Amino acid sequence: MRFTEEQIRRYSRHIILPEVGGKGQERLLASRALLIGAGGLGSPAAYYLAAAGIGTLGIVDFDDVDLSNLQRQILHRTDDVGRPKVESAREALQALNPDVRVIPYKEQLTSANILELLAEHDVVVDGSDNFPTRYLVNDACVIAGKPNVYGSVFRFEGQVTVFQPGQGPCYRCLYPEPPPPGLVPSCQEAGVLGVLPGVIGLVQAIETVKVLLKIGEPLIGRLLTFDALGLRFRELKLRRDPACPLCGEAPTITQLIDYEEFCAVGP
Amino acid sequence: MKVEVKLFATFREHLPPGHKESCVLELAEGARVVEVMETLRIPRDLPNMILLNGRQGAPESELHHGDVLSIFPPLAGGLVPQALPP
Repeated sequence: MRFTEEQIRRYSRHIILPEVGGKGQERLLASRALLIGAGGLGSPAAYYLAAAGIGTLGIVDFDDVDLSNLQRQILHRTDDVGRPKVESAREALQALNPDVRVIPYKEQLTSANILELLAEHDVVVDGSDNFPTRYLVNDACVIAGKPNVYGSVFRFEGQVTVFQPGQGPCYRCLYPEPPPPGLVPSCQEAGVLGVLPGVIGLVQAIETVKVLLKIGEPLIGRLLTFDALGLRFRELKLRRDPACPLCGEAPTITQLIDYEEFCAVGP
Repeated sequence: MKVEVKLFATFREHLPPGHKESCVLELAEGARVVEVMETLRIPRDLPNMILLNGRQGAPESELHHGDVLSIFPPLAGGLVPQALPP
């Protein structure tokens, strides 16, 4: 491809980096990232990935914008309340960078559609908000061999890691199975400091760019935890579990599973 | 022997009163991670991830004096499993 004059100016701060350069920027423009969720994590991640010139951003989100989202989900504005998140996300991202093709998927991710979506993308950014989706995304990424840049937040704490099939553990190496169907723990709506998913979502965006450019040391086999109250980052080593039911030596899970949400909202 | 136990997210509600992130437990020699979980009433049937001195461990891992044990619940955003009443 050839850069336009405008693109050379837009991406000049990338192009002058030896680790990126013209070649790297070309690669980013040809790359396709799939964002699971346009919420607290997906918003900052998508915003910076669009700015960085990731050529195609697929965004999966079934929800509409709610007023209570706006404290952290920076892709959406007050006027967007009630609109599908994928629509307000597309508008915001394309206004930021018209080079980026945003593909909205206003659908529930299931075993029936996820592999098709993965086939169209190079990397997954998981910012989802429920366990069935976490397991489905993990399993599909292992089956399809796609890197999964994982982030999660809770109150003042956040975690990031990169699950790269074949090179490090997967989510099931850490949490092999959801709780059995008989056991439904009571659950609560998790509070979260609005700025926190900004930090975690942007670490996910950094890892996504590194994975696409194959530069640096991605967080494979490492869990980065962030404690906003103590303002501390810590790193913990994660290893592959040879007994993992999905990516271990004798896998018992060989096809995708649609779990029911195991949370019941508490009294 | 003494072991430092760090709990994360919803598991923090299982720390003894007055502790916010971690506590130090006095344990018998040869104690295993599972005994810490029993002491702190961390539900065994909820998925959890155990890290011993910054590396993955298991409920059966043996503890030694000065170890740092971290236990994480699964997190997905949105709804989170609530700590069971002690």
